[in-house]
Amino acid sequence: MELGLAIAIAGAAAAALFAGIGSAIGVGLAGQASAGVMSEDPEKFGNLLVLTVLPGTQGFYGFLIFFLVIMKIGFLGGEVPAISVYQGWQIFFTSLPVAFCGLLSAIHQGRVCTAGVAMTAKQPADFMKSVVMAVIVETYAVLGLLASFLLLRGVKL
Amino acid sequence: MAITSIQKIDIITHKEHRKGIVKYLQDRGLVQITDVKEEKVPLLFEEERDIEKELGNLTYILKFFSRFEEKKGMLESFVKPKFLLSRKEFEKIIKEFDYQEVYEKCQRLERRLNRLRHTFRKLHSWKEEVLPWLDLEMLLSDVHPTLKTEVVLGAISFQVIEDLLKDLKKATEERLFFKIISESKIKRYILLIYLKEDSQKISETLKRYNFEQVLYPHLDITPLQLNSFIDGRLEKAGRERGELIAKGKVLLERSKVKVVALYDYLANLKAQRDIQSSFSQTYGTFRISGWIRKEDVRKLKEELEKRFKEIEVITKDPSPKEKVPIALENRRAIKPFEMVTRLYGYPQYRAVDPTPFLAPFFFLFFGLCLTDAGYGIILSILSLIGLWKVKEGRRLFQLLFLGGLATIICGALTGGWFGIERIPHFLERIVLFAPLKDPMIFFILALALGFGQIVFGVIIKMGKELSRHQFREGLLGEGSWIVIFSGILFLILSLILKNQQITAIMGEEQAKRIGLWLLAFGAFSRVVLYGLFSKRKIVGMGLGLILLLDGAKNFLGNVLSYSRLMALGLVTGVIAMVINIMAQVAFETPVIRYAMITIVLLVAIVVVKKFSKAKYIIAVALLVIIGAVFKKIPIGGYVAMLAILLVGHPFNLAINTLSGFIHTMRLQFVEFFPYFFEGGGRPFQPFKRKEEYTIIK
Repeated sequence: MELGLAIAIAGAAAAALFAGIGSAIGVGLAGQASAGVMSEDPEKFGNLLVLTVLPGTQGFYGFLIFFLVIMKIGFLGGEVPAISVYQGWQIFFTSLPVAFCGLLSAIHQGRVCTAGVAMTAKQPADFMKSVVMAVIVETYAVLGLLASFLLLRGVKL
Repeated sequence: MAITSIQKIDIITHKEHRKGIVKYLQDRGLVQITDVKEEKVPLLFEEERDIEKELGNLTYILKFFSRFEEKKGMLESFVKPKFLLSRKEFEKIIKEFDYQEVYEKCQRLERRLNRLRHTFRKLHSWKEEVLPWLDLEMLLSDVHPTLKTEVVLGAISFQVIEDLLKDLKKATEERLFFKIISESKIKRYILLIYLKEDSQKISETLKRYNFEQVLYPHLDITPLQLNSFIDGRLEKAGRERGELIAKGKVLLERSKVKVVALYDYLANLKAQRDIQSSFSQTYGTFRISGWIRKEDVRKLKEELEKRFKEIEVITKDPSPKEKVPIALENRRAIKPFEMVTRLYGYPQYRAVDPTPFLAPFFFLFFGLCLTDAGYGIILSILSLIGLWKVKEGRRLFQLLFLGGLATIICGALTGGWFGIERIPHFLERIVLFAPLKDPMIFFILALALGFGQIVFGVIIKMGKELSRHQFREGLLGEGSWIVIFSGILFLILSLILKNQQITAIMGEEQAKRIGLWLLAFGAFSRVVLYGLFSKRKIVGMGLGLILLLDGAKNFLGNVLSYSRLMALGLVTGVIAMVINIMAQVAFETPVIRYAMITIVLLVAIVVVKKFSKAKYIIAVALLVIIGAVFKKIPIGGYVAMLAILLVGHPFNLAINTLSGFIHTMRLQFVEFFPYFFEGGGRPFQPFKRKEEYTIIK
């Protein structure tokens, strides 16, 4: 039984961990570029902030699944149900979509945002277009979150 | 017709009216002036004022003012606020305001501020030098050689001070006075007094240990006095700077409106002058060519003829080959959606304006992407506030307001209220289905809407082709698709009948047979009939087959693409739900409650900011105590819960509004538009007043 619980925890951790790493990298990329532009033109702070925080959502998505998993395995009060090894693996796999979609999409979104920052620096009027490009990458993180969520709902403990 | 009819216009008149007519056209803002592409005589202007130079001076003033302006809020960093002026006020400013005085005042202020900055820098560096010596209780003039002794001040690294001392004592045989005046992290500041006869040996030793000697001028004051003297000067300089900034602020408040009004006036004057290079002219006359909305022609003609005596206005419809600029014209309710069309690009002059067609879909899809009535209410209220506060970029807020209404409808029908799982009974009664319980219904709904929009797109294309007398394309091309689509509808109907085990109107088998026949006939007419009516029959049939297969593939992909509506709609609800659960957990779990309260108070302190270091530490200590106390009291739970809700829900709303907006837009651009949209038009941009800083009521 203990092994099952450990595997489930590994799943929860993976969701928060990988998506979080991705967001950190993505926000980092965009943030550096924004800071560079702002050193010349502090007026653009509002616009650049949007581009910088965009890759941050993946970390949040990962955290959501992490949260739902630890709720499911009873870490937030109540009794910890007995989790078999199979159930543990089930939970582990449910968190993979959000973990990896989050990790990779956040990094790539960070790159798109960095390019968007450069674009906003040169063509401030086209700022919204660069946001559009970045949000299109976001779709796949959203799909990953949804996949993980629906799978997790299906797991019976 | 949603694309306004545009006519070509030529205005020919006598040269002496040039200035008057340009000003008139700018004020009315009805005509887009095009550059006449022919050899032009260089224009001569009798200059009354050097507009460029004056604009430069005004820009300098505005830039200088920005140093004193209050910090901008988040909203203002996105949209620049403008001044509202009546025409009378504006004209009074233009006539009476002499910016030269303000300009000189600004220059004087700037010079003084720069001088002050220099003073500050100097005083600070002095202060830094004197600080280590505050405990030296002697006059600075005494730190100089006497008849027999040397008096030296200086700094030395703390690592070597012991060794230095030893060496010095050895070198002078203990004939030396030595005192540490103060200590910093890495340096010791020392006073040395020794006999002049030893100075050779001592200075060698000092050099070896990298002793940094400090020299002071002959002043009959102690370092402490010097320090307070510097403080006094600093305070005086600070006061002076405060006064200057206050002066700057007064100047800003008194004259900002006037400066920007004048700026706008001159910028428009410059535009009037610049546009004249687009005219063609002869010795005595000139001609303005351009575009005008057909509905404005009569009004303009009448007014022009009344104002200017010798004038000829010629208008004619554009020839089919000309690239006509595009002006969109829609009903008020649909107008906000023009923004979506504009983002994609303008349609061609003789094509269809997609705005009225995409409006209902956009409305509905946006609502489905959020599906939370609570969020819808907040979004509507926020966009109303935006409409009220911001005078420009209103289209976006109007669109968001409509989107908010759609969200309220979709949310109420699916029982989404801030992600709350158990909603009051009266709200539950209007719920059609709960997305989280039956995601399948949502999925099918999304695909059905996609199917509907694509069929609609094909119908629009057919209508367009028929109106252009392209009967083969319209009837056999698009018409066949519509037959195929109705076949698909019948097949779906048969599936439904099979699942429900009912025989309304027709039986399951019957519906299936009709569906299959329709499919077969559609495919037949798309390939064979379409081919037979082509010039080269076999090639036509081949083309028809390729188009059929390609269309089928696109159709499938496009319809499936609408499943994003379900994904986005579900995600909003899921995140909202999880935020609620987290808030509840925080409410119930003492540790999280404690951590949350600490975080909230910490954030509060950071926001308040004005804490010195010592107070900061006390505040944090207090926090920990307060947190520990609150751990036991339910109020702490409420604070923690509110904090999570107040951060979580706005975040969810913001991120999902953004992606909802963009994905809804994408469905229009990528899935819907290819069926009928012909892009590549240029917008109609009449020559008119630009209002960069001021708006005239």
